Amino acid sequence: MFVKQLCVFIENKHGKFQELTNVFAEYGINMISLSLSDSTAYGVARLIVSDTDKAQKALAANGFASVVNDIMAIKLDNKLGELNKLIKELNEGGIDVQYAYSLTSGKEAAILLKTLDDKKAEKIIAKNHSFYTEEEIYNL
Amino acid sequence: MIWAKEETLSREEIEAIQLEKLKKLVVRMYDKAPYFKKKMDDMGLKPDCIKTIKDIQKLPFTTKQEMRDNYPFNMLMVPMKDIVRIHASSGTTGKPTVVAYTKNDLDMWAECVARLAVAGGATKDDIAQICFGYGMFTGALGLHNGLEKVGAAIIPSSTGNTQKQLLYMKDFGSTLLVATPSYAMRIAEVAKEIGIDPKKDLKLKIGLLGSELLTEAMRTELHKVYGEDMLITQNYGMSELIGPGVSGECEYLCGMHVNEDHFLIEVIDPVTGEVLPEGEKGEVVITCLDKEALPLIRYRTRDISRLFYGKCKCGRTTVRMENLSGRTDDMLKIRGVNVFPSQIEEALLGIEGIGPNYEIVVEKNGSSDVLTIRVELDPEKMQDSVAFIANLEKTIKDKIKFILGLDAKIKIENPNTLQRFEGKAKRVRDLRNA
Ligand SMILES: [Zn+2]
Repeated sequence: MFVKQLCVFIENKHGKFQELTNVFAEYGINMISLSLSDSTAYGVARLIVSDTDKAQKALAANGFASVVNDIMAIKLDNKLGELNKLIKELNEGGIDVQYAYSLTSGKEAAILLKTLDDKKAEKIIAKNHSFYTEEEIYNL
Repeated sequence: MIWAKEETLSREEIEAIQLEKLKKLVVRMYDKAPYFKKKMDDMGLKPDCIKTIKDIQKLPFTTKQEMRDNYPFNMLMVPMKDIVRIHASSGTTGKPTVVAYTKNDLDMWAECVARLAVAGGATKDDIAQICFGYGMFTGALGLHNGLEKVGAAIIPSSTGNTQKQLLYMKDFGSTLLVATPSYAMRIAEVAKEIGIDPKKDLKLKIGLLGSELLTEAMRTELHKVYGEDMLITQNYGMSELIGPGVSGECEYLCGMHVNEDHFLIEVIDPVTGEVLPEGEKGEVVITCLDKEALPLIRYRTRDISRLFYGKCKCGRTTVRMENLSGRTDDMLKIRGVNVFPSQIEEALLGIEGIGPNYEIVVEKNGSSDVLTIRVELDPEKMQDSVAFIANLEKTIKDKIKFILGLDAKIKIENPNTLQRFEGKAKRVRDLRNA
């Protein structure tokens, strides 16, 4: 089960990240989860937001390049060792993780996970875990 | 279609016309242009030194500096009562270059532009939208009068308010676009922003581009947005010589046909001043054979090109000058390497993942020059990882290194970050002497 992830290009210059958060504030878009990866000169912000379409249009209008793709949102019990278990299962299934970031809200926790073979990973994960639907995750 | 019989004369016929006009010109200028008489006297030349067309090689050159020195009207050969138009080109440094026209000059100008507009596909059925800035700049009125002579319906929409331009273009069904290559690209960009697809929603089928260099890479990019069927040609001129109208491409895109009965073109070695044979690259030198107000003898254009005299498939016999690979005035010297901005453009356009806009910044770091190239990410090619940006950066860096032999810093930025231009693009910022 996949949810929509928004990836935004950010030049690492002063104030650029705030420009991004300003756009979201202005258009009433809620950031549910965020991960920022960067090299020295560039960054890509990966986000789960309340309205992906609206967010992407707002970003385009404000001069941000962005792309939307699918990412797995896996439910985890908010307790020690859960994530370790998940990664071990993937490793044993021969799946390499590309990137991951987390999301917690009260008792609920999720890991957002991208692998080099999401289809195969989905099958392995489904054996012992469940996924958030888009609706569930936007309502967290 | 070919507009004038002068475009299909034999070499002997063209040279006979040129010789006739040149003899008269030299006599007239010796008589009326003190700056020219002085140069002739210093060289021990008399006006009757012109016996054959080759004798033009004896005559002194004219430079842009002389035009500046004679600002504004000292080079004019007719009294002000005979002048009907004055234009000026804004020099980036110092005083503008002033040019003036008699009634006959304007007629000749329109005739020359009509010929190259027709070579570029224009007919009286066209609806021609002129997106050059009207004003002191010769481009807009030059194309305006030439296309009017062809009989096209002119929309003098000038530059600015690009959305309005597109509204005219769509609602009036414009078939012909006059613009700089960079403004043509900008118009397409704005079209996309407001939901107009130039290929489907506009009727444009001819692009007469000029006033800045059209690189082949840019022509390819323009075809991508305006469609492969559009005939995109460029034409050449400069205000000192007349404005646009000196030469232009035909549909075979194999160099620009020169209006030789009005402009005698030579290519010289820029160092020795020797005239070079057909096919050899050098500085273009042009003599305005029959302008009344401001004729020029052997004007050094500082543009580098070469000439081809073979008959063109279009049927014209006029000499073709190869499209410019760069203008000497635009050349940068970076760490001892001569760099034309057009080379950088050729390298950048066509790289997947970036848009058509760029800026070249040259700075000093200690005693060394630092070249930075700013480009914009193509939002449609965005990916979910920073590795993709790093790869893109490396691709650009490697290509620049391959073409120029120089290391450049590449800065990839978000869309719409760089400045846009409606006339001549200013894509170079040289901060070394700032
Ligand atoms: Zn031709």
